[in-house]
Amino acid sequence: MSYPFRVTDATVDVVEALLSGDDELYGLKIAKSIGRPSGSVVPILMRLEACGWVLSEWEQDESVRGPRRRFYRLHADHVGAARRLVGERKTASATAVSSTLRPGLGGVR
Amino acid sequence: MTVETIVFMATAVILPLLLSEFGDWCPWLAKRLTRWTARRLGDAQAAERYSEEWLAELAHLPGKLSHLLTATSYLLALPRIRWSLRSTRRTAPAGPSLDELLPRQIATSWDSRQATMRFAPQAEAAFGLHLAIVHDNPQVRNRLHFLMGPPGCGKTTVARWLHDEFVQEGKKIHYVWAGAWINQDRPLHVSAQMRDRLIQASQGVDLLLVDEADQATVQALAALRLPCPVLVLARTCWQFREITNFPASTGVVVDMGPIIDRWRAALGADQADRELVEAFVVAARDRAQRQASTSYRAE
Repeated sequence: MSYPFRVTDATVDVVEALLSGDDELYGLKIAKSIGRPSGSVVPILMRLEACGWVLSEWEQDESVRGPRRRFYRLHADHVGAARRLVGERKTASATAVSSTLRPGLGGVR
Repeated sequence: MTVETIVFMATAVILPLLLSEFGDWCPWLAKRLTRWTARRLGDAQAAERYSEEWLAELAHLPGKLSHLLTATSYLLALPRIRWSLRSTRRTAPAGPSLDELLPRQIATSWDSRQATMRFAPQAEAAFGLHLAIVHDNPQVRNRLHFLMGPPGCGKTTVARWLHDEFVQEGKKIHYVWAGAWINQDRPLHVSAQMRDRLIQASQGVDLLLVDEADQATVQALAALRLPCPVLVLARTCWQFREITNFPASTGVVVDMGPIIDRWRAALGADQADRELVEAFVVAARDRAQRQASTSYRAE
């Protein structure tokens, strides 16, 4: 299936983090949850937002003074496609692992 | 002073002091570095957004050195962020536009010709609202502004004037008549998909005008939490439909009733009534002419 952005491991990781259902996901939290540097997550979120997969909103808590965080979430129209993308990656990585780490029985004979 | 004493002083006193001092400076340095990085994005709007976003994220980080490490991570990713920002600017806006999502039907009282404010309270309300919406505090966004007043007091004229001003300034403004969208007679349920589409479509909009709104419209708007400023036009003295509960996201509320009362007291009741009657006569004549020309075109 084709996607409106370049599919890399980091992009799929970000999409997977967005599928977690957390309502208060901000850039740094996503970066921590997928174990990647915060700077590398910013351009991915930017591209996903530009193609309409991701929506972002400012923190609504009026009691908080000072700068506000921006929360990211998947657009309801693209949740299905996001699940498919993550599923495809899991299938691909499982196939790759099974083909490279298959135990060889040749030595037993 | 022996060498041992110097080594002892350096390791036991000076080094811990320096480390402690560096630790205290880390959050300050991180803030400066983050602001500097955001300013290098090459787009004032993006710089403002990411500066606030990143600074808020830093504030939620524990420790002190982690602040500096995160700020450095933004700096190292700057070339990629700039490249992504440039490529996103070339991308066409995703999803349907507000024109496609919201009904374009207009109220019968709406006149597309240039608005003329006929008495002082209208001008006072219009300038107050314009100031509040245009010079909105960037820390206080997503605001629902209200223009209220009794029927015939000139709310729609004020809205038309604001519409003209925004168009002249090259700003994007969208008009919705609540009667054709959501109100007590049409209590539509906004699905999660529709909410997301509306949020996406209203991101580049400078003002959404919602005319003839009632409590049901305001509840829907408060739940939607659109990213653009919204101006709600609503009647007072409107039995069962008057807006009495203002949501937490309420910004400026301009009620033309008290403004007209103050103006009447200052001008004298007779003079004020004469001007009001004159304004109503002109407005009624305009409306009749407009309806006549519409029916002529329809024939």
